[in-house]
Amino acid sequence: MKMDPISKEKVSDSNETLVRVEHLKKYFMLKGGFLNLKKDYVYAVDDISFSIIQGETLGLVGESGCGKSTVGRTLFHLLEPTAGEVTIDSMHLSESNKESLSIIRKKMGYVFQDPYSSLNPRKSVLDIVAEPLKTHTTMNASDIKNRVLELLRKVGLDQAHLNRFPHQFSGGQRQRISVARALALNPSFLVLDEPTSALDVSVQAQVLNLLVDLQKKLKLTYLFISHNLAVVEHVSHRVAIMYLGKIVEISQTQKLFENPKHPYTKALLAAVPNPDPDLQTDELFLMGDVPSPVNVPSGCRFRTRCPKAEDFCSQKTPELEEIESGHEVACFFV
Amino acid sequence: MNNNTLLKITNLNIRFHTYKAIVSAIQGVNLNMREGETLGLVGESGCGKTVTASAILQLIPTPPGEIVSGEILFEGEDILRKNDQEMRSIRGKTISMIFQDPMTSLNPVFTIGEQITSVIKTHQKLNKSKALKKATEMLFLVGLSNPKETLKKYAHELSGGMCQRVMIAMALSCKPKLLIADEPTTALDVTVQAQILQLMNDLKKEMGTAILLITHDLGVIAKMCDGVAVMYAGRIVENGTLKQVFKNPLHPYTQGLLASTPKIGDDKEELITIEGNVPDLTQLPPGCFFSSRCNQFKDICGQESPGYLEAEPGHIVSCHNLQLQ
Repeated sequence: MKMDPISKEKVSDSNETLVRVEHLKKYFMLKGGFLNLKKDYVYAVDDISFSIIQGETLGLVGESGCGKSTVGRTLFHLLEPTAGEVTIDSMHLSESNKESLSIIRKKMGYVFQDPYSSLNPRKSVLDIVAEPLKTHTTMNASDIKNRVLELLRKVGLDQAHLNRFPHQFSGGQRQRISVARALALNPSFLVLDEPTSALDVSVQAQVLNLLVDLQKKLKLTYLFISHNLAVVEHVSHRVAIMYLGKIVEISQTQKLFENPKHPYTKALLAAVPNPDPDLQTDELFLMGDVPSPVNVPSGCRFRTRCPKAEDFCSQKTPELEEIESGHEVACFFV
Repeated sequence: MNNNTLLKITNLNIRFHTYKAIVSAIQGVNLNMREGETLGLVGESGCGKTVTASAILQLIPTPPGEIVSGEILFEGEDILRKNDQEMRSIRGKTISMIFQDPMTSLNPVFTIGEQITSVIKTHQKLNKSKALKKATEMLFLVGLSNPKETLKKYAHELSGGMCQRVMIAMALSCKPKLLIADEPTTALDVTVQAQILQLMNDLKKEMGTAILLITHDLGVIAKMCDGVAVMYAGRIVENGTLKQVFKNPLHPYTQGLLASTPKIGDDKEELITIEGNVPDLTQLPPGCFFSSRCNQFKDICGQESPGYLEAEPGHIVSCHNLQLQ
């Protein structure tokens, strides 16, 4: 990552696209009613497209129910997409069989939100971090142990921690173990699903610094999923804002935060309370709650809460359009 | 807000007896609140803020909890000396509390109407229909657009934001003097949080209620509070007005907390961190509890516990560094 001296925007060193997502959809079926005959769908992810360049961090932001975690899980093939294509390092997920899926999986790592439930409580740190190595390689026990030690040192832990169990560690330390595990197979791409949301602020800072540092050293590409705008601004090169299964705005980080265009992005930024007592504003609120992803509003999904909504917003769905270089918005009023 | 003292906690010490060891949850906590004031109690997990708040309503189970010493004066009377019956007439009436997760704080098997009217009927001598009318008014006051419909619903039928509005309606239905809000918006989305915080501020102005706001979110404190108390490992390390503590933080922990919070518009490459971890509350070190993580450590910090110094009027800090100046 280098800082462009003129615009002070973070840009990735390479131009190679590592991750490409095209028209991704993931619907969950709900059965109900008499004899389970009634079928509804949760339109969790509804036609999402984006790409991530090698070495870049794309922040994916949204509130609960917007579908961001589902995007992460579908990208990793923990969930099978309903439609659309995911391409990791030129390999298409939809065309993969068990063998090629295994190859793709080695290029990726996943860090989960909850440091307390994402580590097996009955396994030692050595076993937890060694598991991907045992599953996907033919390394012998001694080589595995050395590799695990190397990984632990990368995340700021050491030999003393090898034989301990998860309950003996704090939340921040557990997240470090999760990161070590995610890096075991030398992946080029990590999906980080709210990696610091469950951590205290001082510990969060340690883990965020670690992630940024590892990205520089190991030339990693990140999809950083979070609801915390300040955290996302700090770690991301580009940011995508999601609402009810769709991306409503996507741009370079600085442009998005300094010049948000979509009414939802503006409301989201205005809603974040500022820790500086001198910078308190009477912001405009967004009234109401997020509609259910089962009954999505017709046309633009945001119209039920949008201060600018007109009649035609219910009839047509706005598509993402580029309004300036690298900055796309899905809104009829931009 | 006037100058009358509403709440005065003096030298509160609470510990918990577990099968393994004794946990010193809070030590020597002093806290004052004036009528109509919003005081923020901020700290990270395990610092003792919920224990402090729960003690005010005698919600600490004893055993395993033990109130070792201290007094909690509310309007001049020591709450810790009151019996069950007296406490029942205080809870929900003079002092109310709302909790972090609104979806699980409401009773799932009773309708919203039944729950709110239960509070109203307990503390005010109103019959069912009058209580329902009052409940409807409260729901309208907290911004629920179909109060009559909401009264008939169950908690699982409402969103997180709506549940928290119901909780606030219940808590304020008897116009308490003090509202204790324990992480009231932590479980809510940021746009819903903004609505709820605004609601709390509006109602507070209307009713003159004092609010003890417990949170780890510094942005929420900056938006809502007149005063702030910072807690670490069971002790209050800094206390003062919002501006004093946030613009001129004197304790190294407060400085570290403010510096390690990412803020929108900040152009920093690396976040400043506080190295290390919170100490084990069953094995607290001698001297200052923060010493192992402090970048301003002096020898005396490992030997003696720092007392309290008033660095400027109303701004109290517990740190040897200030005393050495």
